[in-house]
Amino acid sequence: MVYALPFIAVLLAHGADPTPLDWDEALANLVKFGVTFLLIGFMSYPILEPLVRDQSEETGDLASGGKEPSKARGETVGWFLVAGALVLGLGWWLTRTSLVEVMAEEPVVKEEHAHTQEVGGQVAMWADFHAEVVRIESGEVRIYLRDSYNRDIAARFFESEVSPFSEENEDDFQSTEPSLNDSYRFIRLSTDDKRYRIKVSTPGWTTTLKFEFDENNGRRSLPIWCATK
Amino acid sequence: MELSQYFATWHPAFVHFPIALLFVAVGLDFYGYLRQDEKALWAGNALLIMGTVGILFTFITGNFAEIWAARSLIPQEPLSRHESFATICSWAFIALVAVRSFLQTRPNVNLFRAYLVAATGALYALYLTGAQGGRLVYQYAAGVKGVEPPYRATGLELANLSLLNTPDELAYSEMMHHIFGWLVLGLAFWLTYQMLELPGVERLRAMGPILLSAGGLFLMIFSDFDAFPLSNEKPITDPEVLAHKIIATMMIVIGLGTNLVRKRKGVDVSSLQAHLVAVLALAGGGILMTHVHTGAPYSETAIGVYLHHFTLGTLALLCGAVKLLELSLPHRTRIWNVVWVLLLFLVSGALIRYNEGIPWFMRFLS
Repeated sequence: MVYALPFIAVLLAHGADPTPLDWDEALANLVKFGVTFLLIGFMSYPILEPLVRDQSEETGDLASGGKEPSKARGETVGWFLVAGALVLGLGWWLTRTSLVEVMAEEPVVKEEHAHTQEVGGQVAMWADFHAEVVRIESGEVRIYLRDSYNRDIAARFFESEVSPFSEENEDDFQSTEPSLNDSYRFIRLSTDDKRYRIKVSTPGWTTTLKFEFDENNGRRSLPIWCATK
Repeated sequence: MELSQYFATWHPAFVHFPIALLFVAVGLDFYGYLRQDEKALWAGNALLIMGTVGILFTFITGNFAEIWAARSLIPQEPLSRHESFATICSWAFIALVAVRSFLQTRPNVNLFRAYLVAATGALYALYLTGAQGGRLVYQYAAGVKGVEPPYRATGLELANLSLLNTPDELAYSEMMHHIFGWLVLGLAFWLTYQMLELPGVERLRAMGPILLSAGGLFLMIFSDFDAFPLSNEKPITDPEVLAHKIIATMMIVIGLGTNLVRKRKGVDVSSLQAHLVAVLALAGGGILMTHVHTGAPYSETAIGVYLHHFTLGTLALLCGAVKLLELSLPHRTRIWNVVWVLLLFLVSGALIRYNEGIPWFMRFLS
């Protein structure tokens, strides 16, 4: 049992990756942890108190029978030490990690503004949003939205409308639908349309972007076909 | 209306109960202390327990409200601050209920004075939590229908909302709940065996605490496959990881302590044990109801998990209530023991049938 002590210390003496923790979150964690162990200590003491009382004061013998009182007492002290080491270890682990996180500076995560295409379309950026628009040869237009770190934003969190674009005609915006896996919005237009104005709306933001495909400046349409051309 | 959205509408209704009950409870305790009025002290204690249970129900309905506020694109920073203050004040009142219930059986003037000072501090935390919640509505329009949020949701927040749990994560969590369901079932059978005083009961008496300690050790290691010692991805300060490690430590320490006490002859600790179990049931219910899911906080999975925790937390609080009844009506111990074992069977059933998503017993509503 004594040999278990260093094992517990090693098990719990582990720090975690330092990422910043707000003071209120750190305080909430410490209150939650502190209260739980205060409860255990406070409420368990009256029950465990006979164990720490001097053996000679006890009227009864140990139920375990054959053991010498000094040996039984040693066992009790040993288990108390294990329990104490466990609680202290966990407390130390939490305190250390909390302090490191509260005092650590915000790590500088590099934002991704290289306008990298993820799915072979054209990328435009406004505020901290990236929109990537893909045209399929069938005339389908797909709009993907990402944040400034190029992490996907699900289709249910933005709206978009697409209008074929020409200098002569007025815009005729049509709504898009979310894809089944919620990763992009899409609409199928005529295969003759290759220039679009696309309105993308998130709460508080709406922007209109112009895209051109298969021309001198634009990206090629993707040759994805599920049927005969 | 979705089920979770319906529970979210309970939050603004529930929030009034703990605020009213707890301020009056501490007021009655002050009055009772100054005027030495036993009736006022009794009423203060009763209101404190009701108010604290009210806080836990308000907290879990707040989790549902948070999901819907986030989906209506309220910024995450003020939501997270309100949640932190709610955690501080919930756990402060859980501690106060424990101390106060102990003072009912073992009066101590100095401890009561310390309780009154701590209770005043906890009331201030309650006021701050309420003020933060009010700001969420008046300043950020959380839960206000038909208006655009006055503060824009950033791309970062929308991307956070888009996160989903992987099938591996969900399967691991379900497996852990099922394992602990079987453990609770073992404990329920162990208690039934003792209650029926079947042959060889003395030999079996050590099994329960051993089962508890072994389960705690297992949980300490395997609680989260993305946290130490299995991984370094999540730190212990993650609210979900912390809750699991606290439960593991409680199980190990209580298992060890119970087995040590059991070895002593002539030590009657049954009433204190009932008291301890009642308080620990309150703490367990508190952990379940203030257990905030990270990773995919606003997903369908989180809604299902909160619904399961709502049920399990209520069962834990009922366990605590049974033990408190055992203390106040000891001549009916047999009935309380039967109810206690039945509740444990219900807890084990809820854990064994646990699923990451809308609970199986609520699917007909959704």
